Amino acid sequence: MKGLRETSWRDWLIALLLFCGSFAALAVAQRDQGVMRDEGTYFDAAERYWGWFEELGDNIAMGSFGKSFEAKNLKHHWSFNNEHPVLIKVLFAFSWRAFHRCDCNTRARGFHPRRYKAAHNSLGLMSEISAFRLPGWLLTALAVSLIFLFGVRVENRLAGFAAALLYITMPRTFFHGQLACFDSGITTLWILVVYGYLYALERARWGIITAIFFGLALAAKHNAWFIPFLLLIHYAVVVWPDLSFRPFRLPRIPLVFIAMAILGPLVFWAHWPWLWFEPIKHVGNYFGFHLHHSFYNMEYLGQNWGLPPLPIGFPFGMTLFTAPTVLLVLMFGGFWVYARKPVTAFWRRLKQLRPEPYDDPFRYPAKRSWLRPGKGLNPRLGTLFALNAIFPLVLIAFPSTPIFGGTKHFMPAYPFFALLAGVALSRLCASVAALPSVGPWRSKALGLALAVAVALPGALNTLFTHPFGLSQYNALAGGPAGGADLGLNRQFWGYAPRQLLPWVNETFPERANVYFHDTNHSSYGAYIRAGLLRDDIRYAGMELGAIRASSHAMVIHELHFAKYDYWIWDAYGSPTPSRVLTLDGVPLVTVYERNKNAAVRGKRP
Amino acid sequence: MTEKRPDTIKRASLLALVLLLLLIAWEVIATTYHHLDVAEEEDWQGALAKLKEERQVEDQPILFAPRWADPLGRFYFGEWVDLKMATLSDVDRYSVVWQVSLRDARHPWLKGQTPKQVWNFGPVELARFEQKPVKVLFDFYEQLSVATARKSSGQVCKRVGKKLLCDSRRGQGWNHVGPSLAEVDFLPYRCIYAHPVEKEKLEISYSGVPMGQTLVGYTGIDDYGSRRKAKSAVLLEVYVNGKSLGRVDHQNEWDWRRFTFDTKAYAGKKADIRFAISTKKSWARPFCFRAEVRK
Repeated sequence: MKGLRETSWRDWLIALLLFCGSFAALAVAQRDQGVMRDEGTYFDAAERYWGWFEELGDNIAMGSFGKSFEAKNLKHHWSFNNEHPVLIKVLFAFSWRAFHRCDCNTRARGFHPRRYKAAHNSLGLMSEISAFRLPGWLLTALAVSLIFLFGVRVENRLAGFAAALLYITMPRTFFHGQLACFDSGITTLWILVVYGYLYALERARWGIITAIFFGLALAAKHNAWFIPFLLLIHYAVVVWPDLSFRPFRLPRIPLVFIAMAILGPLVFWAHWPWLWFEPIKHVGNYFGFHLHHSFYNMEYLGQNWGLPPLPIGFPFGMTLFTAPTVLLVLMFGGFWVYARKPVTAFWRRLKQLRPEPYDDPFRYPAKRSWLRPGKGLNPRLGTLFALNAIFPLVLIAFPSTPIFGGTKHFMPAYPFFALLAGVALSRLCASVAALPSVGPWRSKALGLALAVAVALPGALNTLFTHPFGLSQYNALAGGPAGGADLGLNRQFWGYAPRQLLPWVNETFPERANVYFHDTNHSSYGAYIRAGLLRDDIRYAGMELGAIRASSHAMVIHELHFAKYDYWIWDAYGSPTPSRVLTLDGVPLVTVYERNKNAAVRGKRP
Repeated sequence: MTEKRPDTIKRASLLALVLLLLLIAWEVIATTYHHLDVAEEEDWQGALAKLKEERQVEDQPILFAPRWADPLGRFYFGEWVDLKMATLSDVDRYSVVWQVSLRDARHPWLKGQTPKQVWNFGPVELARFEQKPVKVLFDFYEQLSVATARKSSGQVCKRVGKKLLCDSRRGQGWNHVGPSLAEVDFLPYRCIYAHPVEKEKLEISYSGVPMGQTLVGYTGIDDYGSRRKAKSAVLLEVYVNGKSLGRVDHQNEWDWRRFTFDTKAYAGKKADIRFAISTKKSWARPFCFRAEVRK
């Protein structure tokens, strides 16, 4: 395709190095990362799903292959967490089974969702938590490589390299990349679909490959259902100059869209045993769950938003306050790179000025067909990037969208932010390199130095806020304390207490009954299984009853969780904490101990 | 419009490069600064030691600002912040108020006031504020043990411990009057819980209350109720010797709302005070209030 470059072995080598570097960084960083509420649930789901594969092996060995596919059996193994498709959870399951270190003690065995007769015979390379998370690092690292290759194809190596670095050093991207969740995975698959689609505009077989990618994206997370609509809009823009109006003839529907319409849902159905019986009912439940999703509480600019609509500015504001400012400025530069010509042409027409010389290399009519629907056409990369960069944010901004919460829900936009920024940086370097005093080597050194330099603010911000990535705010917001001043969400998912576990292990009395607040039972179980929490520490339960029964209590600070503080004060007779966990001086978790402070601090009023 | 000359492009490119480098430098420095500019243990301990040295009377509240620093404040200054001090509605009755703050923040109750003295310990600021205290003649929350409660239909609420039970569920149900620690607009307040009932008034009465110039109070709906879809306002009416003194129609979205009623006509005398609470729809209306008679 005109306008797209070919990649060389050097590019693939750099992509590999970026992949390895990102994978290693995520693998190392996640070791002290707390277990998210959702992760705990997915760990349980993965183990249950693995049970089906294990049983399938047994059934094949016994010659009763069909038994695994009976509705009763499928229901038994796949009903848990059936509101999400299972591709990524199955990856967690396989990774866990292959790599985890099974040194489970007696009590830890009780935290598995299934009973095992003996310890697992696995490679034993890493803890259970890490083994579950490994596919997440793989997918995130894959996104980094893909962004690089995408950048190389649409612009040059520098654009790709800068975009890849900018993406992985975005603090929130790096944070989610460590986890056994879907958000980083769907972001990777989203960009994979767009990457494939761009090929598919000129190569027929890529229409089929892209459709399979799309099916895999559907199998990862529900936001993938929107991708074809964006690509259709893009294709309409691409084909528009080549349409004939006299007589008016619509273009034939390209293969890539037909394949996506057929193969996408087929892959989606095929990958998910839950849909193999009562498919209409289960698909209905799946869509119903996401269309009528319960609302999460989210603090934004000092207000708690518990009922929709969330302010329209939320996704834009959160991006402004969490993404590195350099990235955002460059991204707007990238928009300008692509928008300059149409904008100036429009301006000149408006002002009745002489148009700029016509230098479009594309001539119409093009030799396109339904198999190669973009052949000879301008691929309109700016439109493609803009649609994918803006739509995920707009979707969350819709007043009718349920309140989901954090930046993770519009993460698929971020690779395109990075690509636009990379293109802008590359163009800037090119214009500086064109100066007579800058030779080719200096030009390359400048490009490399700038690519690293633009990623530096994000990298530092990531480093300083690790492992509390959800409490991270950028320099524009004033860091975590600035974010707190602005009244931005402190955190969610109840993962921060992980950093208190060494202290808990050291100081809490035997069989302490701890109210863990938003840390759910599955995460607590994961800590015990991984040997991070003493196995005599008990989980008090939830809500007021658990607080009253507890000996120690935690409050994980979010605005809407304030009541738990007061319930604990009331139950313990004192508002004095035993410990406050902070990030850059901002409280994240407060711990109370019954009877420790009440006597000293005075009576209950 | 003329075509851009190479000189213009050259200058624009260099300018863009310089601006980009400046932006990177600012973001790196600011990110590092935000990470390092944090109150350390010795800063908090320094403020604590100074407060111990300066605070001569026990009964002086310590306020923390900004609001998010409250857990740290209670951790370091917990010795003097008991439940009573942590759940105040205002500091009007105190002549000296202390503020421990970060990032030049000021507690909302001290806005517009100038501190008498200020000490700085790194990013931690300790400030002493002085004011003319008000004298409280009667605190309805503190004196809840002498109150009676009934519904306007005539049903009397039975006293069991600190609570006045208006149904038969031994205080476990919502239909009672009693001391409470409510969360209103995410902040804690000690107050009299009085959930209104359907189609009648819940009345709380005090006899022989010494009267002063004003009756000051606060009303709120616990966040647990106000965040739900129930939106009905709650009406609080105050009667002195059977005559209406004033009313507050507390809206669902209001914060902890202050009211002041003029009681000069009764000053120096004793009077019977009745609070009547009602609403149009009583579902999820955990109403709470506190009030006091001031000299």
